[in-house]
Amino acid sequence: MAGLKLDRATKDFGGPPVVDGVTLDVADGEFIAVLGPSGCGKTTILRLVAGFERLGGGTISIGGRAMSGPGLHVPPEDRRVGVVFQSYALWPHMDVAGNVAYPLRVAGVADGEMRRRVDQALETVGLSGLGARRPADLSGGQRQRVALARCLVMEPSLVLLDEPLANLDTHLRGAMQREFDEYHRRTGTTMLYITHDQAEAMALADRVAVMSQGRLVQLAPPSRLYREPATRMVAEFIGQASVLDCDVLSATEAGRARARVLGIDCVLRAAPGEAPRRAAAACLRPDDIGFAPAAPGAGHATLRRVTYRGGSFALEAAPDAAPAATLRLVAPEPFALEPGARVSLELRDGWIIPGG
Amino acid sequence: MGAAQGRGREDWLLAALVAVTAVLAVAPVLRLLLESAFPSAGGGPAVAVLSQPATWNAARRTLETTLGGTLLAAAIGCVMALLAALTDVRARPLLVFGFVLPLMIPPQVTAIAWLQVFGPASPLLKMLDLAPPLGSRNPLYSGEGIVLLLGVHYAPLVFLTLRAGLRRLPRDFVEAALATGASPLRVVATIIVPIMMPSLVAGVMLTMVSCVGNFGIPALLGIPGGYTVLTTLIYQRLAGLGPRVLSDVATLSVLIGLIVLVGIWLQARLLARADYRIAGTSADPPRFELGRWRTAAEALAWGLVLFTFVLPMLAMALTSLVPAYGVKLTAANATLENYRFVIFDHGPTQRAFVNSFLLSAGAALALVALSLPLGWFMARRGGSLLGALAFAAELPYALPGVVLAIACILLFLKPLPLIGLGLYNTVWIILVAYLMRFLILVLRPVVGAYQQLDRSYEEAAQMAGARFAFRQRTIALPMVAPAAAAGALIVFLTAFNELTVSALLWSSGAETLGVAVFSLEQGGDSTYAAALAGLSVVVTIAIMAATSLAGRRMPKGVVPWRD
Repeated sequence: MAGLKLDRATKDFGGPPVVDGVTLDVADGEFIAVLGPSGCGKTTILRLVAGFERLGGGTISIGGRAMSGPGLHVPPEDRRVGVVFQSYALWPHMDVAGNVAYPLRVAGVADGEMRRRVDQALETVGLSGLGARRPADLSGGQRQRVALARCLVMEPSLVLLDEPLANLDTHLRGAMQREFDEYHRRTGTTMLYITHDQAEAMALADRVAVMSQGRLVQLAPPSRLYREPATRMVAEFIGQASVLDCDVLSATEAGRARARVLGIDCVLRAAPGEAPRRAAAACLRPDDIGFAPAAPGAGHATLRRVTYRGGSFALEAAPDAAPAATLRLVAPEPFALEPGARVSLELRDGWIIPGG
Repeated sequence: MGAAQGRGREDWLLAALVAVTAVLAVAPVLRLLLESAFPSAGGGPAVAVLSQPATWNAARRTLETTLGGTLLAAAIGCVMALLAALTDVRARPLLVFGFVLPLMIPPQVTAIAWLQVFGPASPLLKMLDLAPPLGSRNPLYSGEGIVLLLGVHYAPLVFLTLRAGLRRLPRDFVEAALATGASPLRVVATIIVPIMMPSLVAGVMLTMVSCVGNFGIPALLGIPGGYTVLTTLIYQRLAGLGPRVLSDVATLSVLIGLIVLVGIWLQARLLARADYRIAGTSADPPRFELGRWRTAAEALAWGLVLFTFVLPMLAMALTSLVPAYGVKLTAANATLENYRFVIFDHGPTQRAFVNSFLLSAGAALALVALSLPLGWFMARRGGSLLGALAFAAELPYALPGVVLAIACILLFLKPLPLIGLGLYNTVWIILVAYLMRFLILVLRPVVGAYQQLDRSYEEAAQMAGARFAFRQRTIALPMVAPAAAAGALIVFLTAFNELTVSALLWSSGAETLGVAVFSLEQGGDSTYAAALAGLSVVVTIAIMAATSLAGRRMPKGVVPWRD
């Protein structure tokens, strides 16, 4: 059992808190992605869990055992937590086998057993026979695999990955993503995956933790994160969104509530407990907005930008009812209108942002 | 073993390291200041020394030779740096090596070599039948001679700092200026020179500080000529009158120390005002094509190498082959007798070779052993105490060697309290002085290497379960070993040829190579001195060449005479 529990974890480096009261409960075997813009504190979370930084306030426990807390700091070497570093941190003065064998050497594993387990780990990541190479002679993807093998050989019950794909070419990322996914499926290891890339987070994680300015903003499965963002920041950070001012006109009933957006009355998805209020915000995904015949129920807008996306066009339009707002939608090819053209649009669906 | 206990051991180690370093770095400076404030051994109050005309005469001559020598060094160094770094002259690496060599040759050897270029016994002049009549005075025995030699000796220092700056100058800066339509000369004047000012100032100030503290050149040129500067004044007082004038010479040392500190402070001020952080993309420095001027530029550059290195070394080599001083050298009378004598017959020289070898090797090894763990704490833990200690470790090296030697005598004249061990008049006082003086030469590259070493290497080992000692042994030490080795080599080379400190600290049986060469020359045995100095130059160049070869595997900037 190696769940991970952060309870009001706080950390500062002598300034404003970098991690500010984060509470996170990761189940055993779960794959969690921590997602956020740079400087949001996500890497600090990893360093706190690994034990490289001392916790300022709150507690962290791994597998039910308290690791960091008031007056308590278990050093990293006693946590048995695997870490895959963004820079890989492969030791240049050892060959590949030496790097992978290191944790076993520390643990005092006998030579024969060590060789067997190193070979096995290298085979698992598809690097059989490369044990005698130097890290400098490997490609980026191979280095990443060595780092993963070094982690794997420890048989940790919790693995932390710090932007492991940030230094790789785009075409390699897909392959490595499958590798991580495979590793997770096979071993059932609890994983905490730090990234600023939402596509990566959505593709890999059971649940995604979105962070902003040191705080955990939302923790949810990927599709819920996309469809039901908790705040304006999440709505704009994840995927394409038009975030529009709206008035909520009714309480939630069967997951929906009546609202007025851009002067048009419509029925949107809403969180339970939503009640009539003004100055709320609605999140509309591109698919939620469509072209409509000019009718009283439709909204009029002016096209501002047309961007070809291969097979479709991404459009930006300014609605007449709120010229400062931006509507983002998609039109299939062929599409003949140019910026400046007048269009009429209808709102098919949307989500009333609970905090917005 | 619990976590707290592990951290506790680290703390004990740190405390021990701090204590040793404080003794090496802080004790000498404190002791010296204490002595000039409260004189202990005989002598009058500090005011008495400072009111003697001899003191001010020597101070004035120190400043004169320093200014003259620095100007000459700056002129030669700048011309060489511009040629070697900014133009397309050929055979650049060889040119750089040839020009930097004099810096690695100790000042007393430079002096002995140049004395053989001029003067009545000069084998070169004799061959050309241009030698002045026997008995006439060597023109280098004068203030002008000292200026010439300081300038030639320290030109590589200006060259190295300026060239390092020029090599960091991104090509983009120059190309951006050229693209606006500026001519190459205008680019040099409006872009390159202003950006290079900090490097130039740094080089010039470093040269001034070195000139103030130089002992070998004014000792061999000034003492026979009756031209006394502060360093030689201290030496003559102490050598002539013994420890009872310690308080007086301590005051003189503080005076030199102050001059040097003003220089360092001035440098820091000037540099702080012109801090151009260079942020460029291209690694290549700009290069101007000289076209038809290239041959002329190459002639100038090689002419300077010929003048600053080849000429004096040739004169010294020829002198070492002369059967008797003042005899004209011919193919028939050339002899290796002088070498045979200094290697096999002359007891003090043989002892000096052994002593210098053991002292410099011992100092290098001990400093590596101290710097490796200390450097880790400085780079990883930081803190104001360690920061202050890192600064303090610079002082015994920045201060002139004479000053440090006086401080060591003050510290160790009486047997050490508690253990009753007397270091004075033994070889051990020289070893301690070397440890104090050269600590920074190992500590600086080691701290730099740890700072460049990404933390994640050690964190990955921590993640793998490795504890402090195991991590140090398997990860951190192997990765900074090249830097430590390079630092150790520099210590070895510098200490092997060192004269200034040992000239005041040696005792019979504890001679160093520098002292042996110095004594032979002072005793009038110029042919033996030339042979011994020649041997030490050969050893130095051999070690440098070996280091250059090994240096290919070392991090950039570790070997000072390589790129």
